[in-house]
Amino acid sequence: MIDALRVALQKEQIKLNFPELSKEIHTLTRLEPSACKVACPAGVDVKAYVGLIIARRFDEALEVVKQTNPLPGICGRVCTHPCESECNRRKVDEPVAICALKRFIADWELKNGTKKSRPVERTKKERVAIVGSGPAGLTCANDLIRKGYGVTIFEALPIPGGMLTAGIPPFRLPREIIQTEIEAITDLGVELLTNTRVGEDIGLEELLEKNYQAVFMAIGAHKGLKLGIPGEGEYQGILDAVDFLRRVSTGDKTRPGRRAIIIGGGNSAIDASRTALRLGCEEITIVYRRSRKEMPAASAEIEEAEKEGVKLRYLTAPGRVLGKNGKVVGMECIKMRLGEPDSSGRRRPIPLEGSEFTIEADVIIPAISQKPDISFLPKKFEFRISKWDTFEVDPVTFATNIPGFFAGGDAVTGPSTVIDAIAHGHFAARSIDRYISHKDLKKGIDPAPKLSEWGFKLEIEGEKPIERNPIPRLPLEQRLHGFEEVDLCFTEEMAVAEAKRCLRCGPCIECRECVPGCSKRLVMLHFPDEYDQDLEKIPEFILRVPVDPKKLPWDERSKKVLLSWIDEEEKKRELSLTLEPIVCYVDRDLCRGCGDCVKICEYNAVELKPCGDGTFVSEIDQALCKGCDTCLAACPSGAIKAKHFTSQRIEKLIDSCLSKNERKNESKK
Amino acid sequence: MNQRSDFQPKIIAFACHWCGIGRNEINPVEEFPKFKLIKLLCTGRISSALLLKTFEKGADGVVVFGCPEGKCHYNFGNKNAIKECKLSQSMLDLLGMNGKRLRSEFDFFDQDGGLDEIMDEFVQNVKELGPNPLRID
Repeated sequence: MIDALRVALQKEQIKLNFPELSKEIHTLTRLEPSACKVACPAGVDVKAYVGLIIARRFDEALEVVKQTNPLPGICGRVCTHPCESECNRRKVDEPVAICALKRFIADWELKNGTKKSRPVERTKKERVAIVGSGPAGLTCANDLIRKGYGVTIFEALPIPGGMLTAGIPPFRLPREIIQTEIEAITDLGVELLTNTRVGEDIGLEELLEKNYQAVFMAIGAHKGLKLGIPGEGEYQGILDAVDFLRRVSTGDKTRPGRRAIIIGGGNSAIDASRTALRLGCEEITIVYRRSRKEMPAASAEIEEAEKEGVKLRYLTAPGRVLGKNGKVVGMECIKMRLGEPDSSGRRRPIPLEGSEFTIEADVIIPAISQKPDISFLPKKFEFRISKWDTFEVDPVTFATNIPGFFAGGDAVTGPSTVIDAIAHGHFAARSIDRYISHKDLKKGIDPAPKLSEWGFKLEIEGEKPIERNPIPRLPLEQRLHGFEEVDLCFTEEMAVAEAKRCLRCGPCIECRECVPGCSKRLVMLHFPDEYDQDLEKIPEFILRVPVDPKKLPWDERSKKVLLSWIDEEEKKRELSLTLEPIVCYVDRDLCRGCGDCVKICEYNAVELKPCGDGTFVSEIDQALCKGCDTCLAACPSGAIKAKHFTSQRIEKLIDSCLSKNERKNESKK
Repeated sequence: MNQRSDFQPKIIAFACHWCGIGRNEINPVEEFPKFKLIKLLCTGRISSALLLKTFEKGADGVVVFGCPEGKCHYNFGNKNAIKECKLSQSMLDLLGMNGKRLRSEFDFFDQDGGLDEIMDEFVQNVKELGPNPLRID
């Protein structure tokens, strides 16, 4: 009987769209993502934008990148591309040149006129201070300003960009690119104060007095480590790589010396060597204590440096600085051999006794590693600092031990990559947002996704090898006169051809056709962050392509998808929105038994029931309730609630109405 | 006065699902050129708390469209709504925000005037009253 009534009720129920309340929403990218997306620390939808490049929808492709990575042009040049190391294409031939493709779409936008970003409406009165304008700081600022906060970035150097400008030479990362991408963020309304060193020009405690509710410290790691060899502090002519690169980027283009020795095997050592070459140094030797295989620098960079004329000496360690009249004249080195692997997995170098030899030089540039400069921290803040001078933070929330202070980027990890810093910026922004709105910082955050076994099998056998498009480079003879960019951009044809090498692995091919196509909004590519906390976990339903996508021809792949889906029991179902009927229910803890609802309801759906101790509690008969919600409005203690039409939901609707209004007015102007 | 002339009031309308202002069945919010319409099952859902909350969030004017008395789909929802609207209007007056910012139209379908006419008049009224003093800019 009640079931029959229920059906009748459901028929009378109106059909409304509750995207944030329906538990049957499927976020495609969250489930079974492709290997490249999981490999990316920032979680960029690699497969989605590669697919959009194939379809020549370059502006949309860039939009996809910008959702998770606000610095596509920078990352397209200097990213260490962990995505390429996981690419399944490497099992066939070579990985897809993902990084170069990202650069192509970033440059394509530059060539075709950048869309100027409009200021974002400030909806929240709280302000956030960000110390440092490197990739972590910029990403965090970008996320927070879009959430409606006021954001100020404090930068110590005269030029913004942090390590991007101070540590990466212009022939790898042209200054215009950094400038355009930073402008895109400042145009949103971020205040950027250069030449403002926190700790000197403005104290850290002053920030809190100046009404900043949270501080994000993304100070980077700019202090070079000492070599710790005899003679290091005695002679002139020892210049740390980071100091050297920063000096050159801020305008000092003098030659450091005729012959230079660079110590270290990381990217900054290679950058320093190639910069010194462009400043006119004649003999440049890189000294590295392990072999070529163990060098952390990108192999393409090492090759280019060698082509340009840098000498590399492997298995060589610095022993002693040699000097005369207070100046460096050379360095005594010692040969090494490789022993057992150490804790980092690389083979430990062991000195060969009696193999000492001398390299002559006027300048020695150590590029061994860097650590954050934390001298700006006032004593009264007792931050937890590791022995490498980095901030110790919570690995999920990036909060320091002092509430309101967050840290990320190289300041936490020690010298690391741009993409890691971008990821930290995102996580910190999410935590700061939650901290300011007094929410639980950790709730509902999944630990980093792991690459799991897919439900479907990727067939690599039979896939024809297609040669990877080599990245075009500036000819050698044009390079050394100035700081012109060496790596060049793909042409449109090359980019599309390269993107077509993508195997489209993973069950969802991320064609993004389903989102606008699904009229009932059952499919979302990204689950909106603000609902994360209100909802339990999204059901693990997996949308699948009806046929193996690899068996479909190209254009079919992006059209014929997502028509059916299979749930965990492998039962085929049609996508449909089934909502519970809109009825009211009583929160027994809040009801005080006044009986107002009984008087108001004309369907006799509400009854007062005795509790046993003389008090009453009202109860709603769900079969009789029509869901008009009048009792909800009349209830003086707020005990009655309606399914779907909760107060939070209506408030969210009001919020969305008010903010949309603003955007429309802006576009009219 | 310069600021006043390009002031576009943000107006939110609440309407019941049955009175037929909103045409689209799926969307919970509909955009009209001059205002945004939030649809509820019945105007009975509207409490003074909800109306005041809308003003607190920064709306410059609020309109409630409901069915004429005796024609409510649920028979009694609009009675409650009329009561709540009157209460909120006096509360707005008390707060110094002018009760005219809230308008309730319960005999809308018995009148000859169209939706546009009513809204034009209301927008004009709100423009004279100026922006909502509670809005954060």
